[in-house]
Amino acid sequence: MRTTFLVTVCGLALLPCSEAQIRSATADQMRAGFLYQLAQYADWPPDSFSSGKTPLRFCVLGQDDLVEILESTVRGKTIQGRPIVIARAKDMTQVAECHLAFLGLNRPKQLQETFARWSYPPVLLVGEAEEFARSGGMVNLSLSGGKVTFEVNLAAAERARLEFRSQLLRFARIAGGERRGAR
Amino acid sequence: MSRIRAHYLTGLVLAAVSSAQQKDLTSLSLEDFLNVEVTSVDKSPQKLSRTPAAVYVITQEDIRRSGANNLPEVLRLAPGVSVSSISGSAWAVSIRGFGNIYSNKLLVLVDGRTVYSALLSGTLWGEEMVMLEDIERIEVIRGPGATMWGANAVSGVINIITKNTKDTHGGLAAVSGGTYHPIKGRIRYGGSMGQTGGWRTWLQYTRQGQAYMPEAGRALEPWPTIRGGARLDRDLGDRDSVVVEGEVEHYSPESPLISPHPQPGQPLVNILKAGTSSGFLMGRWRHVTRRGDESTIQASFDDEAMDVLIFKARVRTLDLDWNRKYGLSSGHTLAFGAGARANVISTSGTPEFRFDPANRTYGILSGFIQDEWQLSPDKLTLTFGAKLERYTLAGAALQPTARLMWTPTPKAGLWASVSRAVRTPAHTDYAARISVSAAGMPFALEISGNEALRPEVLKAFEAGTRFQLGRAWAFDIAAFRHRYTELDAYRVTPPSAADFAAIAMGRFVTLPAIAVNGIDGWNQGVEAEAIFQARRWWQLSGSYSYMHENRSLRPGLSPANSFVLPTYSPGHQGQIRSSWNLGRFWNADTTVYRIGQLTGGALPDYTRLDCRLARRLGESAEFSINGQNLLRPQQREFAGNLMYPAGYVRRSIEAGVRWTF
Repeated sequence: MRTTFLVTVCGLALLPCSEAQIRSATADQMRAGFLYQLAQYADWPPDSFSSGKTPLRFCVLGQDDLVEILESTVRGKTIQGRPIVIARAKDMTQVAECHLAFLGLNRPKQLQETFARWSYPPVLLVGEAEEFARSGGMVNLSLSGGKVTFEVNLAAAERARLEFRSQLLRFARIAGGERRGAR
Repeated sequence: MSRIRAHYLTGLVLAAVSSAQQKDLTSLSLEDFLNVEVTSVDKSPQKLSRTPAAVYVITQEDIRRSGANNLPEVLRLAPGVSVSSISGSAWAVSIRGFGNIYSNKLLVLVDGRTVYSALLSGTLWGEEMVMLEDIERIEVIRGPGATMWGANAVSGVINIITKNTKDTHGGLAAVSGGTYHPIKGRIRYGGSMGQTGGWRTWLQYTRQGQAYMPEAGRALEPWPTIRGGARLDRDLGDRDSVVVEGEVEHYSPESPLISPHPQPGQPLVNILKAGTSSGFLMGRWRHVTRRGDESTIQASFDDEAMDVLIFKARVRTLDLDWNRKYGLSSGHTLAFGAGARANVISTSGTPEFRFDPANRTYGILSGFIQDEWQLSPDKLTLTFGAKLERYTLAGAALQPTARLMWTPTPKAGLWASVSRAVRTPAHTDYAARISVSAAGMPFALEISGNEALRPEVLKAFEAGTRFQLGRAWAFDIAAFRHRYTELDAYRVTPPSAADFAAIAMGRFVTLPAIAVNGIDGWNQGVEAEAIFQARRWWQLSGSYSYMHENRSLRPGLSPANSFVLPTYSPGHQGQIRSSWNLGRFWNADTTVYRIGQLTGGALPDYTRLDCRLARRLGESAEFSINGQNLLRPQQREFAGNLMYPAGYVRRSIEAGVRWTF
């Protein structure tokens, strides 16, 4: 009994194994995956692209570790027929040049100051801080509890002329603005 | 203190490590994506490497994959934590020394509620059979945490945090059983209350195996525990939220007891049935101000009635805590708070074990303030503060700390700290009256507590580093020197000439022994941990810890007129864990533990092997086979104490199934 068991459970170490499918992922992988998923369910105003092939610009501010993972996550992928380019943003002026930006800001005061000065160009601002959506960001993700959950500030999205599809909103917690008729 | 500070809420720097793996999360549907589990629970990755303390976080995934049956077994996962099963229903869990059935320098909290016994000075692990599936994470802090958590957070703190009800919607049912543990069954169901709240309720029944007691010539019966409870979370508007939680439990293990006065021809160890019933109710209200500052009020009531072989006791605890966090624009984050606690103790004993006074109420009043000062933004942070507490009998104690964290790059950090912490005497230390003798000896010891006892004091010096090498390796190393003064000992009145004369005439003599602050000493050592992402599907982690203890008697005491109730911890211990994701459905985990000999050679070194193999069945079910202690049919892990002997824990092989709906 004992030997059989040991062979079954532990002996597997010696066998070559097939690659794991996705059942769990690290936090940064989830962040990167979330940005990709999110962009599929968001619509930008037409004037934010010069042509139908203009790439979607994803930017990361203040969280350098994420850049590499994001690059490998979206490599070769397209969203709504557009290729994706990843850039590191140094400040909010550079963020204004992007379509989607992950802001690694977490101090409430920092957030408030940032959004107070923000003129809401069509940039989908994503963060991960308790007060992010309520302070004026658009999507706040949370990885606590082992799963991705997110809240959406619809009023902020509307100011930036961004729209979210209902497939996305049905998983979201609404942190500001009103849910309107689904598309 | 109860509300755990954000900077303690950390995963390890190691969380970032497995970023080396790539997984195609983009091919999933949104719904499937949102169901992927996050293997690390870091709130913000910048903070991970910035905790100026030796912290390890055990996640829900770690717990599930460990195959652990109960909380003490889960704690084996954390580096530097010594876990010995004494009988199967009692454990010695310790960090940086002082391992015993009640390790009195380790503070354990469940959702911010302290479960340290004010009667016995330590954690009654049998009572903390928390439903493992409900735990979100466990933060294990090696070293003192007294500035935040107060007295008894001396050599370590274990912080168990259960899931928010928004993460436990739907049902879960799980059952397992095997050669050693006959059955463990648990069921949970939860739901939401509109957009703003959630609830869950649970029931768990287990019968877990117990050790073989050579003195009794048999194994103890498997011990039953039953517990059930409910929790409610609710948001009140955007800035306020409340949690209410309550639970009741009962357990009744067969327990071994070394006869206080063994007689020739009588068994040395008696097996008796013990029983404990307890329950708690707690509420917490959290408010976030417009500028993002946070304040928390928590109140809890615990009631516990125990019938522990030789005495009965009831302990009721009322606890109230208020905490506030306040960010200043100049790079300072202040945390401050106040708390009050009352422990109402009533006991009834036997001639061999009683308390005098039998009943007493102990009170604690406390206040603390701590500042986290960003000396250089994102690079250098100084955290300093102090807690002032006032206790019944022991008086006031100040427990300050200063911690410096330097993070030159996001992938490397260095920290150092100095702190003071105290362990306050419990009712046993003040009031126990114990009578024991050894077979064939002509005298008995009358051991008594002492109301003049002062708190035991720790001054701790710690330093550590965390860093990543390349994409696959991460390390966490800490060193500590803990200087203790006024540890407890017992002063014995040696036999007088008249006593010797009486013994010579064949009479039985009684020698008094009284608790005193009789020992100084230090514990020092290092703890190291490494994680290696060998392949995308294979993670290896290992840890090693070393500790050296040194004790000396204070003036007036000598080996001839004093003794110490011994504690046991290993000088060396290490573990290697391998976790595989095999294909789409299989997980396999193997852990090898190597435990060095216990303090004073009380138990020889040994190796332990645990394995678990699990297969997912569709999206909602999992089947597992789990083996523990596989190398030997039985293994002794502890050396026993004055009244409670240690038995031989047996090999366990069990199968289980878990279903979510």
